[in-house]
Amino acid sequence: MGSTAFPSKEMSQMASFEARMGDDLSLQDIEEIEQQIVIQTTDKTRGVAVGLLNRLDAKKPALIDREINKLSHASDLISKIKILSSLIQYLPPEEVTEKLDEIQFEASLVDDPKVRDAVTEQLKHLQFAQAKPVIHDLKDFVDRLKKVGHAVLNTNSLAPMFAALSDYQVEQIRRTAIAGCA
Amino acid sequence: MSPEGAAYGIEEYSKALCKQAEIAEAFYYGRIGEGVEGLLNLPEDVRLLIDQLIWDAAGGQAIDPTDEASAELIADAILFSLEEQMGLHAS
Repeated sequence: MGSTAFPSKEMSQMASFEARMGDDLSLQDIEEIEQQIVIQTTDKTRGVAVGLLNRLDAKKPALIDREINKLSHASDLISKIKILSSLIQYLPPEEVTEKLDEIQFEASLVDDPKVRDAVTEQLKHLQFAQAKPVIHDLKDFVDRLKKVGHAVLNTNSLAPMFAALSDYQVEQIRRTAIAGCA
Repeated sequence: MSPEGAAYGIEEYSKALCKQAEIAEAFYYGRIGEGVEGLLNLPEDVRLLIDQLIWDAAGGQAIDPTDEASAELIADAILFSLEEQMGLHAS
């Protein structure tokens, strides 16, 4: 009887995610909240979580347009690379390649060799990721793992790990942990 | 496994995956020395898997990593192994 009088801990967690869903979110904020929702969702909160994820999804197109606009108006190459990095997963590959080529051309015109080398180095990472899309998957996966690790420590429980990762991935983590302790 | 052990395992697992991506990138851009050194430092089971993938992809022929196509073949083998370790091939 008492259990219906107060929201459960899980529902409170979902409410806290909803409270963070203001109008001033960036794409990175949205990605972070999405990952947290996925990690914290339980059977009890699945319906609410799906609703929140749909609402976050609906916010993305406008933010993507805003970032594309920022990219075309950015003056320095490092900012352009940073903005493009955050946009890569939302743009068609040919558009990313085109923008990378533009930045590479601009980099070739830079007088300062230190800046030119730094930009070229960053571009190489992005071009490699364009050629081998698994690098994007890896980045997303590592971001997710980081959040799972924090959730495991914050809750002092393995539940977030089992909720967010497959049996195979948990086994890999277990093996890595054992190898590190050997 | 304790939560602390799991958090440690997660961190090391992430680092190991990123390291392999760096090794693949070194081969992809022809930094063969860096790539080979990275390969030699991988855990034995991962290295054996990559060796097997290279062997299969090369049809059992010896390859020259300084050759551009062979270097990309090695990079692809490393990335395939990476996918495997991320659980992307697990059913």
